[in-house]
Amino acid sequence: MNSRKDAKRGSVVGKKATSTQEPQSKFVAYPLLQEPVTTSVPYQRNKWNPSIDGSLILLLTMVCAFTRLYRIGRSNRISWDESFFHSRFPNQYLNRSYYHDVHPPLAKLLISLSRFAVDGNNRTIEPKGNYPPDFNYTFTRCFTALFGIGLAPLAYLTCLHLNMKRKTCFLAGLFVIADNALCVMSRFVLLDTPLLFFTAATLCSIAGFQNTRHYAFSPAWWQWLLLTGLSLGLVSSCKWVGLFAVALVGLYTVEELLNMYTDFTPVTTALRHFGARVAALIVLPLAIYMASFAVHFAVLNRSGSGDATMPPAFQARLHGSKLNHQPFTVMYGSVLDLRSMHPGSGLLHSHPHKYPDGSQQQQVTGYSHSDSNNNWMVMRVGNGFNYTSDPLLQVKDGDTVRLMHKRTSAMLHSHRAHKAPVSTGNYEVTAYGKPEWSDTNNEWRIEIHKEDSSVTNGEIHAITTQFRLRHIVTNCLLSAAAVKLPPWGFRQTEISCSRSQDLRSAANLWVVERHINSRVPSVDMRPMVKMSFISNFIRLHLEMARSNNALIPDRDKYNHLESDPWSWPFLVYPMRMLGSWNKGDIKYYEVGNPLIWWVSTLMCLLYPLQLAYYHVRKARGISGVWAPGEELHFWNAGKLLWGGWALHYLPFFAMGRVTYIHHYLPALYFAILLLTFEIDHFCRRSTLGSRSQAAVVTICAIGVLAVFCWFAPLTFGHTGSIGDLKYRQWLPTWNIYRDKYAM
Amino acid sequence: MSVDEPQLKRRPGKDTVGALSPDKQLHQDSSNSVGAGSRAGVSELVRNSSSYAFMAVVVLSFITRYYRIWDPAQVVFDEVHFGKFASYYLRREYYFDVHPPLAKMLIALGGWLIGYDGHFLFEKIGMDYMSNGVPYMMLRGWVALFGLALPPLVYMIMAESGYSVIASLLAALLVTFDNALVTQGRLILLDNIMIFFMLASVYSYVKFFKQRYHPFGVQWWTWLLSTGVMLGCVVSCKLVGLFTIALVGVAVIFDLRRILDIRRGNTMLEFWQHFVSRAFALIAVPVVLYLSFFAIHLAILTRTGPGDAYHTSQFQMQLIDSPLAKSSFDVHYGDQIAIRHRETGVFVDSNSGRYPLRYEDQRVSSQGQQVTGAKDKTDNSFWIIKPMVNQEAFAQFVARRQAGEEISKDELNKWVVHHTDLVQLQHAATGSNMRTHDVASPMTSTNMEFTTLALNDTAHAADTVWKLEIDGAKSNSTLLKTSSSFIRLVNNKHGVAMWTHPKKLPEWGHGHQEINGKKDPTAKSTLWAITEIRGRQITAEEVEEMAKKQSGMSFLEKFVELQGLMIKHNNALTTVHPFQSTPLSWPFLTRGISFWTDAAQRKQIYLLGNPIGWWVSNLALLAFFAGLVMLEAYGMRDIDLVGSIVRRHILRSGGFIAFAWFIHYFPFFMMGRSLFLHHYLPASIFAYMMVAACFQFIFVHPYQLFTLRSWSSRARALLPSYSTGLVFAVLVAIQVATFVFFAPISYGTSTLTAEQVNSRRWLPGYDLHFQK
Repeated sequence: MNSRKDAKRGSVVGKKATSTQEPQSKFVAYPLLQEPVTTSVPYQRNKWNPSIDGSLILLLTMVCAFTRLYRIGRSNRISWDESFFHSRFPNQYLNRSYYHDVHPPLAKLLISLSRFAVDGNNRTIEPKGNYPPDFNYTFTRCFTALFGIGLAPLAYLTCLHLNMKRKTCFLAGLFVIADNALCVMSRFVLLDTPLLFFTAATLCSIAGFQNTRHYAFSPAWWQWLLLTGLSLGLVSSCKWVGLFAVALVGLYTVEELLNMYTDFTPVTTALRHFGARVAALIVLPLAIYMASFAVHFAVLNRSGSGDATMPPAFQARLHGSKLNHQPFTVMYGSVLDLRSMHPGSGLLHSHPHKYPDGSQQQQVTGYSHSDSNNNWMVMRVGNGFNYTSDPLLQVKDGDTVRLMHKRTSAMLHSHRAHKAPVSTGNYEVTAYGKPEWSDTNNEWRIEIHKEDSSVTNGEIHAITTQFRLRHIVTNCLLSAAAVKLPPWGFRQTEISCSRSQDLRSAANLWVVERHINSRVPSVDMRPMVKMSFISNFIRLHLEMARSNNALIPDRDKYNHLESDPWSWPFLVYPMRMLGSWNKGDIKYYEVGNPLIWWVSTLMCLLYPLQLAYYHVRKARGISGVWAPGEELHFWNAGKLLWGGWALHYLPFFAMGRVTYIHHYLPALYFAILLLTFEIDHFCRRSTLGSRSQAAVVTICAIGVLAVFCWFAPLTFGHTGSIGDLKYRQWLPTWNIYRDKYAM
Repeated sequence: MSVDEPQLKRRPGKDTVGALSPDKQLHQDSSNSVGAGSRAGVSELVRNSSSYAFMAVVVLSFITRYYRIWDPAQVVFDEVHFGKFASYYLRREYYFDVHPPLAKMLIALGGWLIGYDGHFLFEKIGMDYMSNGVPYMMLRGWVALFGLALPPLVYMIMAESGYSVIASLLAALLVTFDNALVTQGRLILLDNIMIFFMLASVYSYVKFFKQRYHPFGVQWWTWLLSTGVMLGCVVSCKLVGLFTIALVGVAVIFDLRRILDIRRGNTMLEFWQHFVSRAFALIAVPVVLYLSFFAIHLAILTRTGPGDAYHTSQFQMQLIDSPLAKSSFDVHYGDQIAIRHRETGVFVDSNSGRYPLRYEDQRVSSQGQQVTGAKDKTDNSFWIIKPMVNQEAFAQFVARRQAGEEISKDELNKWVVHHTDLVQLQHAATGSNMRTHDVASPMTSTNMEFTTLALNDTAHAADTVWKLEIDGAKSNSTLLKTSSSFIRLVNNKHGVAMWTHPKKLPEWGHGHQEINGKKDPTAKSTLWAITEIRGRQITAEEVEEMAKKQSGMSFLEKFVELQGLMIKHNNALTTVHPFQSTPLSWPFLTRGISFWTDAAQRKQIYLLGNPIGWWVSNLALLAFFAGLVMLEAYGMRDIDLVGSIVRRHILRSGGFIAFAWFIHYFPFFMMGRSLFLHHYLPASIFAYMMVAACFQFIFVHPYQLFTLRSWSSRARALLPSYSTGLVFAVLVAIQVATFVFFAPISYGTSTLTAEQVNSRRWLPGYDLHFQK
C-alpha cells in the first residue's frame, strides 16, 4: 500500500524526495522495512497518431452510424417515450406554452430545435398513435441518433486516454456498437441518447485530463479540464442522472487535491490548481445548467399546463394567464383565492364535508387546482358594512378581518378546543358559522410580510403581497405545511393553525392569487410584479424534486415495463417498446447484448476483488508482480471506470421512484469500458505474445458481433410473427414471444 | 518505563512490559505520581481506587434503577407488548412478533421462576397490576437486573481499553445518571436486555483483543467464544444486534489485516488459523445460537394462539388445538363448495340477475348472468366443482352419490382435487358454468367480465375451463383442502385470474363487489379459499386421523417462514405513531416519548435522555471527529502531533468507540419503518464513552501511562491533579443535577404542578402532559 501511495505521489508532482531526505521528522510505522521508492516513470502513455487513430475512429463511426441509422424511419408509430420527448414537450416549446416536467430542459430543447428546423412551429403532434404522414419524423430521429453514433468514437478515445493498447481501444468501440440496448435506444427520440453521449464525453475528458496531469496548466491540460466542465454542464442539463457524473469528477478531484496536499505542493501552486478546478468544474457547469433554464423560461412565455406549479407572480407574467389582468388593490368585499407560499400546499379550500373527528365542523383544506370552492370573501368585523354600496375600503396591514367561504357562506374559524387532525400540535381550522354571527374565533389579523411590488404602501395587493393570518383569540398562524390528509379529506393538504411563531416559514405565508372585485378596475399585472430568475429557478427545482419523488411505483399494477435495479446487470427483465405485439406490428425489444451485459457485470464484481487481491499480495511481501507504473495504471484507469459504474448504478437502489431497465445504460457504458480494460489488463499480465493477444481480441469482437446480429431483428424491428424468433428468448423471464403474465 | 513500545517485533510470549509485574508497576506509577510527600493512606486509596470506583458504580446504578420500582403499579408503554408476550410463553400459546425471541423469553423466564402463570394479558397502558394479581414488581426487578449491569459494564470496557480510573468512572457515572436509560432500565422492556448483551459483546471483544500477543491460549479462546456467544444473544434480542456484529466484524477485518502483514512474521497457515477460528466463533456460533433460540421459542409455543393467522396453513396446523386443523379436509369432485376471497372476505355469488346492457359510461356489457362477491353466504354461494377428465365416470359417480349409495373411501379418494387440475365450476342454484370472456368488466374496463354459461352452449365452453392453482404448492400431487389451501382460479383460455376488490357495484349489483378477471394472476389479491363443503361435517374419527397424518414441518422450514414474516412485518411498521421521530433529531434530544400518565394524580412517565449529558456527548463526538481529521491531515504530511503511542490509542480505542456510535446510529437513516427515540439508546452509551475518551485525552497526563499496559492489568489510577478533579466533579455534578431535575418524569412517582411541568419543558418539542 505504502509504496503505491509513494509511487503515486512521485508521479503526480515528482516531489517524493522531500519526505525521504528527512527521516527524523517523519512518522513511519515500520521504519525498518521502508522500501526505497525507485520509479516514477509514467506507464507507456499513448500518443495520438493521426493516421492510425484517425482511420480507426472513422471506421468505428461509420459502422456505428450504419447500425444506428439503418431503416431508422421504418416505424411511423410513436414509440415508447417518444410521446413525451418527440411530441408533447416539443409541442409546448414550439407553441411556447409553459409546462412542468421532472427533467431539466437541455435535451428537450435540442429535440425541439431539430423539430423546428424540419417542420417549423405551426403544428402540434398528437402524442398517440402514428405520426402524421407529412411529418418528417426521421429527421429528428436521425438527429438524436447522432448522439448515439458519437458513443463509439468516444469509447475509443477514452480507452486511448486510459492508455490501453489500440487493439483493445478498438474493441471498446465495437462493444458499444454491438450492444443491442444502446443501439435500439439511439434509434428513437429519447433523452437517454444525449444523456449517454454527454456522460461518455465527461468520462473521455476526465481521462484526458488525468493523462495530462504531469503538464499542469499546459494548453492540453486546460483543454481537457474545460471540456470536462462543459460536458458536466451538458449532462446534468439533460437529466439529473448527470449528477452522478458530477460526483465521479468530484471524487476524482478530491483525490487529486489530497495528493497535492500530501506531496507538499507549494500553497500558491495548490491554490492555482484549486482555483482552476473551481472555475472549470463548478462555475462553468453551473452556468451552463442555469443557462439552459434561462432559455427554458425565455422560450415558454405563454400560459400552459404547468402554470399551477409555479408561484402566482410567475404566472402573472405568462401571456394568456388568468392572473395577467386583475384588480390590484384588495378591498373589503373582494373575493380572493389565497395561495400558501409553501410548495405543494395549494390554495385555501373548503367544501361541504365535515371533519370525522374533533369539532366535526366543515373541512378547510389546501387544494392545488382552480375551483370555485377556493373563493373567500374578505369581510370586516361586524355587520355594519355594505360591501356593494359603501365606499371602497382598502385592506391594510394590521387590520382584523373575517374570511367567508363563498360557496357555503361559512366563516374561516379556528378554536383552542380541538387539535388539527394530523399536525396534532396545531389547532384545527374549520369553516363554521354565518357572517351575521359575531364570533371572535372567526377573526384574523393581517400581518404583511413582504411586498414584492413596485407599490409598497401597507395595503394588500394581488399576487405581490405576502402576509400572515393571525388568529386573534389563540394567537396562532394560519398554516399549510403540505401535510396530506387521510382519505376522508380526499388526500388534500391539511390546513391548521400553528402555535409556533415562525414568522418566516413559508407554511405560514399567504398570497392573493386571484382577486375578483367588480368595483375595482383590472390592471395589467406584469409591470407590478418583481420576479428574479434565481427565485424561479429554485422554485422550479423544488417542484421538480417533488414530482420526481411522486413517481412511486404501484406494485399491484399490471405492468411489464418497470424493473428493479438488482435485475438490470443480469438482464433479467428486458422491455417491449410497444404495447401491441401482434403480427404485422414493427416490434422493437429493449434487450441488451447478453454477452456484453453478463461479462461486463462479472468484471464490475471482479475489480474490487482484484484490488483486494493485489493489496493482500503486497501485504504478504510478494513483490515483482508489477511492471513499473503498471500498478498505478491499474488504479488510475480502474477507479474511473468502476467508480463511474458504481456511481451510476448503486444510487438507484435508494430511489423510491419507478425505475426502468434503460436507467442502467449510463452504468453499462462504464461497465463496457471496464470490460475492455480488464481484457487489456489480462493481455498485459499474461505471457501471451502479441499474436495471441490479437487472437483474443478478434475472438471477443466476433463473439459480440455474432450475438448482436442474432438479436438484430429485435433491434431493427421485426414485423413477422414473433414465433419466428424462438431461440432468442435466453432467459425464462424474457417476454419476447410470450407475456410473462400470460399462462 | 519504556514508552517506545516496539510492537513490530512483538511475538507471542514476548511481552516487553511484562518485565514488571502489573502490581509492582501499579505501585510504582501511583507512588511516582502522588509524590514523595504523600501519605501512605492516599497511596493505598489510589491503589485500590479501581475497585472502589467499580463498587460505587454498582451501588449508584442499583439505587437509580430500583428506586420505587413498584411505582406505578400500572401497565407502562410497551409493557403492553412485552408483558403480554411473557404471558403467552407461560401459557405456551403461539404469538407473532417482529423481534427475535431471546429477550422476551428471558422476561418470561423471570416470570416462570417466580411462579407467574401468565393469566394477565397487558391489554392497555394504564391497566392496574394490583387488582389483576400480577407479580409485576418481581418481573420489573428481574429485567432491571440487566439495566443495573449497564454502568458497571461501561466501567469495565473503559478500564480494559486503556482509560484511567477517573475517565472510566466518568463514563460509568454519566451512563448511571442518564434519565432515558433509567426509565427504560426499570420497566418490562427489551432494550435493557439487548443493550446488556451489546455491551457484553464489546467487553468480550476488548478482552479478546488484549490477548493478541497470546493467540490460541485459553484466555484468548475464552474471550473469543464469549464474544461470539454475546453477539449471538444480542442479535437474538433485536435485529439491531446486527449493528453490533458489524462493529465487531469491522474490527476483526482490521485485526486480520494486521496479522496478514508480512512484517509481523506470520505464515499464511497461521493467518488461516486466525481466520478460521474467528469465523467459527463470530459467525458460526452466533448463527447456531440464533437458531437455537428460535428452536426453544417454537418448542415452548406449541398451542394455538393469536399469532396463528400470520402463518401459512401448514404452519398453523402444527399447533395444538388449531381451529384450522379442525376445518380442513379434502375437497372431492362433485362437492358443492363456497369460495371466499382472502383479502376482502366476500363469497363468490351468482344470482340470476344480469348485467345491464349499457353502463353509465356508455360501454356495453354481455348482459350475462352476474357473478359477484357477496358479504353473506347464501344458497347462491355454492358451486359444484367438476373435472375435465374422466367425465363419464364422474357422471356415474355423481349419480350414485345422489342416489344415496354408500361410496367407499378408496373410491372417494379417486375424486380428490389436485394442484393445477383443470376444473369447471357449476353454479348449484342456476346450473350454469362460471365463465369469463373478452368483454370489459363493468367497473374495471381493463379486466375481463365474469359471467356464467349455460351447459348446452358448447361453442364457448373453452371459456369455462379453469386451472386451479394452490398457492405455495410445489408438486401436482398437492391436494385441495378446505380452509387451509389458498387457491387461484386462472382461466385456461384467457390467462386471467378471478379477482375482486372492495368497490361496490351500483344498484343493479345489489351492492355486491365486482368480480372480474385480472391479467396479472400472480397478485396477492387473487387468492381465494374454500371455506365450506355443503353438508360436510367433520367427524371425531377424522380429527384423530388428521392429527396422525399431519405432515410435519421441519424446524428449518418453520424458521425460514417465521424469519421471512418478521422481516416483512418489520418493514411494514410504517403506520404513523404520534411519538415517532426522525433519527436526525435524536442526538439533540428535541422530543421524548410519553410512556404513561395518571391524570388524577398529575403523574407521568416521559422518556427523555439527560439533555445536558446528550448535548455534551455531541460535543465530545464533534471534538473527536475534528481531532481525527486534524491528526490525519498532519499525518498525511508525516507530522506527528501527539506521539505515535497516543496516536495509535486514539485511532484504535477512540476510533472503535466512535465507529460503535456511528454503526448503531446511522443505519436508522436508511430504515423505512417508524422510528423512536429509544432506538438511539445503544448509540447514546457509546457517545457517553466518547466524553470520557476526550476527557482522558485533554485532562489526564501522561496519557501514555494508561495506553501502554500489559494484557493483565486493569484500569490504573493516578491521584488526579486539582484541575482534572475539578472538571470531573463539575461534569458529574451537572449530570446528576440534571438527572434529579428530570427524575419526576423519568420515574413517574411524584405529582407535578403546571409550573413544575413547564419548567421541565426545556425545548418546545417536550410535549409533556399536564402543562396546564
